[in-house]
Amino acid sequence: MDEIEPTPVGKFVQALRARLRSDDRNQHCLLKGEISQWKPYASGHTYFSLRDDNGQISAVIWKGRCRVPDGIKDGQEVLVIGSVDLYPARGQLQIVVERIEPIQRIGALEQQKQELLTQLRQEGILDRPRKTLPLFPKHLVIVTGKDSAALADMLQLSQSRWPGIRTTVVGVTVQGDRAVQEIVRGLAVARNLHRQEIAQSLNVPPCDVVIVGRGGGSPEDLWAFNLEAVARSIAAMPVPVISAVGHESDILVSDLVADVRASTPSHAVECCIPLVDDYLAYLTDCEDRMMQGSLRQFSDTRQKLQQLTLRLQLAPSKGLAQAVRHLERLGNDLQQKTTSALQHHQQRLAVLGQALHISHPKRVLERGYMMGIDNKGKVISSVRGLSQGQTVSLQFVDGEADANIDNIRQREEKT
Amino acid sequence: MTEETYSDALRRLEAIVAELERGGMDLEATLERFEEGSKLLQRCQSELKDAEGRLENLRLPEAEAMVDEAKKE
Repeated sequence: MDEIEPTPVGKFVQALRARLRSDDRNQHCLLKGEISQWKPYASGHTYFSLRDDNGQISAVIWKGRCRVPDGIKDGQEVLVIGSVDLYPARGQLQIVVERIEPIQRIGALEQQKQELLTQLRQEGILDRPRKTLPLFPKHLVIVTGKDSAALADMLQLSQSRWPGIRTTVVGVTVQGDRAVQEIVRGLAVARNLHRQEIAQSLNVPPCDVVIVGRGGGSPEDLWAFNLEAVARSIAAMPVPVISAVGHESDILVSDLVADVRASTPSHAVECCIPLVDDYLAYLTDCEDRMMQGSLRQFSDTRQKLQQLTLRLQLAPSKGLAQAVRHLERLGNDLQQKTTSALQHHQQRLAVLGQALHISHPKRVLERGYMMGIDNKGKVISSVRGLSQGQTVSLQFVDGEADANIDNIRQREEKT
Repeated sequence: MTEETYSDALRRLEAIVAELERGGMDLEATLERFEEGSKLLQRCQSELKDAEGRLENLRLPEAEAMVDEAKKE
């Protein structure tokens, strides 16, 4: 039996490459995926990986083999036409790109949306003051998909909240090529219905609130509401506009320029149409409170009158009794005050008497002193004024005696 | 009644109710407020009850034709 000869790996890879290239299914494949690791080299070749959530493969664009569109970067979705090849030196499987095109889908549209928003913000349209919704709108205009489920929901809800509201529906195409133009024309109808003379001619109240929107759909389906013509038309409306597109999570340019953003079409109806039963109940409550308040005022007034009458009737006798009581009180006061004043004075007199008793000259004389009195009866308290030979009277406790002054010795005053 | 006057009427009504509930007014003022409040109440109620709601469900070309017709008049 022949021994199996080992195959040199290079030869094996070369053979594998030949088999891959000979299979038509591996040639000129049309692939869709996302760019990752995009690397243009100085040599002019570009290497990258084409990937999606389920797999990836290396790819190369040989210099000059195909035109490379500008602005391609990682994350970009692209269509690629290319053939499978094996790079023998590294044994790497790769796609040799023959043509590459970016897919102009939501990625690019999203960029347009952002550019539009930047533009609108610069013009001050996004930050302009918003109009407030009327408490009770007179004439609602709805611009939405004709015969759509969203419209049916809105009309039903509106009817249940306030049957009294006048509604004009302008059924338009909300997706596809004609959508933008039709939505803008629908808004123009609403603007016309706001004009006094047109409303008058149609014998309707002027339109005073607009709902523009549609039910849910794919981002592409909703895209008309992200476009400039619709945005500008909404911003220029003379009446408040509620934008109601898709579901809660969909935020479109129309939502950002409108006066009110509703998360869904039904929510838009809740925003602008009052629950009339609530208001009627509130008015009834006001009526009750007004009645109660007034009745209380009347009964208060009556009560006050009764009190006044009673006081008037009682006034004379009541007054007299009061006067007597007052006088009695005064009398008592007087007596009390007099008594206490008298007592006070008696006490004070006694104290004074005591003091007088102690300081009387007689008490001094009793202790052995005597008092000199001149011929005018004045007490002599100094040698000054005395003269030799002058007769003075000396007062003792039990009598008096006359004396002549012989010598006068004045003490030098000590300072 | 326009929207503004409806809101005004409701606001005035609420003020009157508050005033009457607060009390302390003389008879004449009470009667005056009660009368004014009653009129406002009637206006507000009829605004809600008597509104004649109508629905025009039109397609865009019909709506445009309607407006164009009205412009000619």
